Amino acid sequence: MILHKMIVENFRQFRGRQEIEFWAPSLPHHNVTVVFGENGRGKTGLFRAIMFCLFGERRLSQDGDVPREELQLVNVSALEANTGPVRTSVELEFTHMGRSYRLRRAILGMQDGKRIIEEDDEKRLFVITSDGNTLTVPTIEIDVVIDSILDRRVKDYFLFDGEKIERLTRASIEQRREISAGIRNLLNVDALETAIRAVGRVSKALERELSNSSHEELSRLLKRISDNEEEQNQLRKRLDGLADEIRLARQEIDKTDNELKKFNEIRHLLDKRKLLEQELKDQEQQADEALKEMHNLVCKASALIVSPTVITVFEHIERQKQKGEIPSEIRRDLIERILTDDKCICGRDVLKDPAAHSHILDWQKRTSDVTTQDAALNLWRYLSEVRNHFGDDADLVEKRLQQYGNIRSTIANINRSLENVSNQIGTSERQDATKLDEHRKKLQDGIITLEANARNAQTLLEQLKQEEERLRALLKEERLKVGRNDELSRRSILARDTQDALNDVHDQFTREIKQLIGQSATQFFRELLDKEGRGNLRTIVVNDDYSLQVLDRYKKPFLANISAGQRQIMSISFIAALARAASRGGQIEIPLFMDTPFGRLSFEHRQNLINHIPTFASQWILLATDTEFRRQEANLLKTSGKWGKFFILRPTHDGNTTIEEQDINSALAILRDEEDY
Amino acid sequence: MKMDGKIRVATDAHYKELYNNMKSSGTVGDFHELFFVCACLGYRKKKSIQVKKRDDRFWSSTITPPEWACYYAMILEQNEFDYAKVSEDKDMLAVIEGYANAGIDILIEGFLNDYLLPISNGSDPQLDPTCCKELPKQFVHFIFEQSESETWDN
Repeated sequence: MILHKMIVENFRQFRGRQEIEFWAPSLPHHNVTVVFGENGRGKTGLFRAIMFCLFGERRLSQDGDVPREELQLVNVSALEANTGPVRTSVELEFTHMGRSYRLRRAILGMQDGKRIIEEDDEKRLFVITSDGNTLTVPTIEIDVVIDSILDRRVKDYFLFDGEKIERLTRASIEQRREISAGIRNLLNVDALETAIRAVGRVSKALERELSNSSHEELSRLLKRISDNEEEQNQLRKRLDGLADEIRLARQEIDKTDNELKKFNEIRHLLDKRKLLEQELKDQEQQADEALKEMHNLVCKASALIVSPTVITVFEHIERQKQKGEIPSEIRRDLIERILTDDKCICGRDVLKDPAAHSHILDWQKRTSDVTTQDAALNLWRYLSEVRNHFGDDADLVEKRLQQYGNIRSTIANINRSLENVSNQIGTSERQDATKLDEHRKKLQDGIITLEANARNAQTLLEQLKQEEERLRALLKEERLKVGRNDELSRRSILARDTQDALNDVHDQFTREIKQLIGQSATQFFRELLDKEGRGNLRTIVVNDDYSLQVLDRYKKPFLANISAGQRQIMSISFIAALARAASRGGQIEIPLFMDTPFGRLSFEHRQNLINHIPTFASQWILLATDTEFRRQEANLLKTSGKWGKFFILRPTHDGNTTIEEQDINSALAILRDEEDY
Repeated sequence: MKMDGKIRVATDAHYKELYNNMKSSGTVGDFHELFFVCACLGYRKKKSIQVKKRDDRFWSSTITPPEWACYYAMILEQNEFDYAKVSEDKDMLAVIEGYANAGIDILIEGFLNDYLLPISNGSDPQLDPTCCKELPKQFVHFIFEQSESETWDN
């Protein structure tokens, strides 16, 4: 999809009919558009317009729990100036895979006392064929056509807020689900998953039938497998339910906070609490990540327990080596031949010389066979390696434990501050504020319990999966033992084998794709990172549970230690890799539409983004403020030769915004330098 | 000393649940890691208990070269550097199984007891999922403490 033009009419801050052209046919390779405006001028409004036009969505992911009445789309000035309803519309022109499209979506806004009512009005999609004819897509098919161009389930990967996208690297259950869904949807494995579920149902039905007519032990095993599967399903449902409950509780907390903000005297305390809670969440996530990585230290720490043994054996072999016993200079087979023949290689009779004979016997003791010598030398090498790492391993284990302890002590400090602030809020003179705060505290305690329940359920689920695997192995053995070979049994085995085979195909495919996405993301990551980051960070890995990890130059997990800017770069690299995989390695025909793209990034990161994104994305649209898009960034973009369009969002006297196109050269005159701040 | 990957390594069936729990709670990545910890503890305490009810736990192919090296070192030290004792990996691992079997008792007694569900009538030990959140960290801390302990061999 390449966005060409968007026309907005009475949409949010944009009064009347205004248009913005993202791509000029005369400059096809200039694929970057910058929309520049101060905060509150309507950058996010344009982002909202695209989401509304493509998917009919009025709420963005960053809106959280903002009440619907605050998210009206109709322009308020137009509504006040009219006595009747006002039409609000967004029209998008775009091309996809060589075809041109025009999509229009409109609503009617009406004033009802103090309330604004918005009603859906028009939704139309036109396809312009290569011969210039225009076809109208039936209304009920519009969403299907749009989803086939950009699936709504993955839209957040390509149309996003730069500052919030780093959440992809935070591995909560919700985010892992998001990544998993993104990968599966983009790669079209839905059909395969449907087939697996269907075969699973057939297999289950056959097993049920079989258990009614089977040999006693077989029947017992089938029953246990069926119970186990049922328990797993229940647990999965419970996990979904818990995730929903946590989400709802968080929304309720936001709502309570909005209510509390009405009390001016405690407003600053509420802001402080919010900040502390965010900090607490970040620290808790760091602690979780550090805990997840702890098991990597188990073997290193355990080897330290037997370090005296390792050193003793290493030194023994070392001495043997120095004495020439390993590798032996004397061949054992030669000595054995001399002793058997009683003759030396010079022809002397060795039995006649007792001193020589005892010398040869001594040699025989000192030599060993070639295989043992090779093995001892190999062991010496391995022990040498283990021994050489003892110092580093002990330091590493100590450092990680210390780091974890530091995180925990920071968490304890934040909790103390939070308690302090909450006490101040709770003792407010306003009774209603105190009540609201108590409600909030209950919600938060509830979330802690829900999260603990979710962890326990996840652990139980893992145990059940292992148990199922074991029961299936037993079932296979039992079937062989009983030797049942009737039609029903054969069909049941066939169904189960088919399901296993499909699962294998699915697992192998997703494993390979995860690996591919990891490799591709690493490549983008290395291009986009600054010099310092490139020195430390090496590889992005998509873990089995779809969480993301970054490895340092020693191939050790390092995610817990990277900065917010590096997390943002990591997320963008992952998105680019995902899109590359979806477009089967070609150029990504999906626009990257980024709101607040550079907020958290260093200049070197910005520089790398500007130099590389236009080369791998088919289109890059930036919605930037004056603090993040300065003359320095503009100069870089101009030099890249990819910058096509520049728009400024200007305020009008009545509080609205107009979209003004500016020449790129004049943009450089308007923008400020870093030292101006 | 071939680092033979085709051997089934067993633990006592009594500890099956515990092995599973330790893996699913993320305390260890795989069974061979917990087995290694236990073997090191058992060897260092010079305690070996024969596995009564063998229960195949993992394939020897999952054992890493540094772990193999430590196993060979233990057996060589114990047998005054007689290489014949480490020539057959299967025989050697059978001896290590004895150390690991004693080691898991040491682990339970010295550390895991606080994290287990109450054991009644000889039931199999199982982790209590409600108190495992910090287990991975505490586990590494316990092992590290053992490596620094001076009070071995008694």
